[in-house]
Amino acid sequence: MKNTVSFTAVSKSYGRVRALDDVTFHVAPGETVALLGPNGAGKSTAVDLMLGLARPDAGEITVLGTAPHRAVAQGRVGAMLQSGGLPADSTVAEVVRLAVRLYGGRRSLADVLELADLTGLAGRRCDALSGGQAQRVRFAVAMAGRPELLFLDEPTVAMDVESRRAFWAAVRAGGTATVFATHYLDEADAYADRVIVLGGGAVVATGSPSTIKAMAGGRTVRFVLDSPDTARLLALPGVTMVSVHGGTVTLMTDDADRAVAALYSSIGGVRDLEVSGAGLEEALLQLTSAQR
Amino acid sequence: MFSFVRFEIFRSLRNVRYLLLLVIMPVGLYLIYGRTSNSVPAMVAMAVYAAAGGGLIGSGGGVAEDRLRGWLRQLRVTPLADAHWLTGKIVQGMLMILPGVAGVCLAAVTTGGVRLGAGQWAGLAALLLLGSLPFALLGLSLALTLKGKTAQIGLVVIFFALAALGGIIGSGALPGVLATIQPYLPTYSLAQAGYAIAGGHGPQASGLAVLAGWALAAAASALVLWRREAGAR
Repeated sequence: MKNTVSFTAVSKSYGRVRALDDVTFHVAPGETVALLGPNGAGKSTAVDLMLGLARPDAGEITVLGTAPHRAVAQGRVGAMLQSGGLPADSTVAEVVRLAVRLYGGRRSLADVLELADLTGLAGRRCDALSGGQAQRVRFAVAMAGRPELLFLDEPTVAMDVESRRAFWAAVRAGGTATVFATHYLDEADAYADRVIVLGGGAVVATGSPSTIKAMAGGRTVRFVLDSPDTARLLALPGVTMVSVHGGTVTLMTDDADRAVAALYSSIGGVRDLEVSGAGLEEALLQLTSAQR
Repeated sequence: MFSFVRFEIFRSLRNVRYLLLLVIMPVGLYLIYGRTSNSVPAMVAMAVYAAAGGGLIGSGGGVAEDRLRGWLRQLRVTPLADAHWLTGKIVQGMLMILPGVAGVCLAAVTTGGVRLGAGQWAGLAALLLLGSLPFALLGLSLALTLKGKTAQIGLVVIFFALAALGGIIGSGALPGVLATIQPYLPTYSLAQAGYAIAGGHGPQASGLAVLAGWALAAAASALVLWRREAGAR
């Protein structure tokens, strides 16, 4: 099957700033992909290009087998832009109704309001909405046409933890393949099938969330052991570093499963064992700083 | 596109500033100054006020704010084509003149004793609708140039400048240089054509040519500015 998005050898500059430099990635059908990176990494530029809001200086982009602006014109993609906004003097229902009509009535107004949990806010004017509520209206606009592919640029940036969770539940319920840009690392970890890490306008890494973590130093294994032998611990498979404080041992590992199995089978007396991810936050920092 | 125009008109009608400036003002001015003397020209002048203002502010008024707030970008990732957006805004601007124009004419007929033939009313209506086109395009151009509140204020200032220089409000008597440019102003040309039609004879070709020229120039600049906006980040 053809890729939903092919982004091939794309470069884009704004003035003297090179926002993307020879970037290539693909999104497979049905896949939810996170574009992860710090501010200025090129995420929004990539999203703009995939929506035909800007043209690449070099390279080629196809979305759903056609040019980005065509996919948009055909109403096959939905999008929430970071810089997108709502008209102040319209009500929620008016904005969503307009979106439903622009997409040719593929969903009913009531369905879309329900989908974005806006039924109770339908009569509210857009300038009287909280950040999270406004974001839900924009989500409703993006979903109004039953899109084949959804683009979300920093979708939860104005939301508290609760609204973020609710928002992602709604995205999941929509069941649409999604490409989203985020600098919330836990978000990429929790909701993406695959993560593409951007740093300084280039792809720094790509893989499943767990692969990305492993690439950047993997997991930490912590336990208590009477009289630990540092040399023996370091010789265990997958272990990259050992530190001992009294009876507490910390192993850095790029393969926690093998390390733990070997630990139990070859060294006795291990207590209170704990495995924790390095966290995408640390992973991202390492990956993007290594790039520079 | 129909849904889009309807959506935009609902929005504008909710706008109090719009009603105040473009419906209540011309009707009020007519009631205060117009109906006592020179009832017909006063009606035409105030109808031109409503048509020029409605076109200028009706189409352009919201665009600058929509740009600022990101609503334009949001719309650009829906299937609403750029050309439809532009057409929709122009149609909206032209339709926005109706409440003001209708209000002024109604006031003139009911309180000013104005009586015109059916042909004259139809001629005036057609003139004002078409004559609002250059103003709508001018409003769009300005809104695509200036940002946010600056644009709103700019539109109002330019509207009153054009209205005063064109002789629609105030005496219309201008000093020196301004008097020589007056015939080239769209407000002046539209008002003169309106007086002619209301007076029972056809408008002068030169005045219509001025309006057409403004429409073409404003259309060209709106198109160039929109292209720039669409290509911009």
